Amino acid sequence: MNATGRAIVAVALILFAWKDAALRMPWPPQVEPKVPLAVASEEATQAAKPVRALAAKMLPTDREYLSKFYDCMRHVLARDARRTDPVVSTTDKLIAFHTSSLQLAIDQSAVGKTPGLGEAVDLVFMETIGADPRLLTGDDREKLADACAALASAFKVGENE
Amino acid sequence: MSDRFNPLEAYSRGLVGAVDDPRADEMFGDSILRSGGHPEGGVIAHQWEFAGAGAGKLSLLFPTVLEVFPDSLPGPGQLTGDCVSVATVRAILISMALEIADGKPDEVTGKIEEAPPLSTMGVMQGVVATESLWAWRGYDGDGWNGSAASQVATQKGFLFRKEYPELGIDLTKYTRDTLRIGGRRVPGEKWLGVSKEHRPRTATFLRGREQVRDFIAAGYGIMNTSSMGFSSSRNEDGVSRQQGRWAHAQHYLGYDDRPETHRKYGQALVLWNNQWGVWNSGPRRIMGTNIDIPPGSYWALASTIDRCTNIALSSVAGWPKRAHTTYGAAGNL
Repeated sequence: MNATGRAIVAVALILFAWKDAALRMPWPPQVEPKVPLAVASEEATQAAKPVRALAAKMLPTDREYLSKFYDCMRHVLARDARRTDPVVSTTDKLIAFHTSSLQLAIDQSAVGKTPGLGEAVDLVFMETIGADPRLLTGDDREKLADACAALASAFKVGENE
Repeated sequence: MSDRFNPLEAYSRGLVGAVDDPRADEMFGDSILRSGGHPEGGVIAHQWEFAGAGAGKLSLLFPTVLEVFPDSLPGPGQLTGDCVSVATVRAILISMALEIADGKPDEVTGKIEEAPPLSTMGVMQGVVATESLWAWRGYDGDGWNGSAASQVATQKGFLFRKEYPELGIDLTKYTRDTLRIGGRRVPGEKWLGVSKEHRPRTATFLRGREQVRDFIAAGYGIMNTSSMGFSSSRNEDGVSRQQGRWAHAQHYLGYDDRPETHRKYGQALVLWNNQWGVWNSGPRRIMGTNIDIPPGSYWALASTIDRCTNIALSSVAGWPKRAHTTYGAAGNL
């Protein structure tokens, strides 16, 4: 190694020694903190019972994936509700949002892996906000968040099975 | 009715399709007030904050109408002097199409409405059956008053271009036979029970071109009655000169208030639609665009509006959208 190279190594060693605290990289890597799922109402939990029954037959990885999906959907809808002009303003837009999100998140070849699952999930929304095409009210948005929480919980591995 | 009705000839020779009746206008204004509306369009435009909405713009109603109800315009040509009834149902069609396209919920039911399930023939025949208003005029023969027709529409409602087995009638197609329904012997309670489900809940009189401009920009169907005739030839911009006299009712499909239009014609233009099928000829391209006006329609100087009685009909209680059967998971999970 020539003089320039040795100088660079020396500076790097000094830098690491001096800035030890700033450059600290914890080892072993910290475990990702567990964020508890939102708690659904008794009503929504009841509506999600058929989903829970079907989830019991699914692979754990698939269950975790869908649990996170509906937890994210709850989060996104809650944030949208805080907008002065929500993007998901009608039941039609909710359907388009849910449909597109599922189509992007679920591999097409995996659709139908658990027969009846799609219908059971739809029923949760039907029972919480009804089937009438209309503008979404504040009350609807709360119920939607509740429905998503119930679904996230129904899919979660190790949740009251 | 003659065997072969030529509306251009009949109206040019003096057939009175649009009857002047100040008493009917007064009664209609009163009925508007009683139902919670306002008979002055200027007041409505300010209350609902769309006064000035059309200023400086090209506002077109027909593209949305044709998107919701393909081939519904120009509709079948008149078979008799029922222009007032036809113009009124065209205004209803326009308001209804714009409300469906808008996707906003009906103000009374709170439900989002969709296009009624009609056959292709029913849509091409104009969607709303003119006979369903015409039947209520109380006499046989040609001619009616615009306010009276609008009052029937708002109070008794209308029927669609389809079969009504419960009423023993098929209104899918506009024919001389269907035109004979009612008249001197008005329909009964059974008909009323069906027609009242679908009606424009409010209407208002528009005075002057700015109000017409703004109501068009806000998406409302407007029918008019006047004594003006128009040339059957359009110029390079689709404009027809006012000429001759027709005691006639028509409706509007658009308004052009662009600066370039004012520069060329000295004023704005309004898009008239006649109910005589394809009765006129000439270019249909809207100036500065790649859009064609529907056959049978024509631009005229906005000053023609000032010589009309204009009635806007809106908030059409239409067809509630069918309930959702899925929220998107079935078929995707």
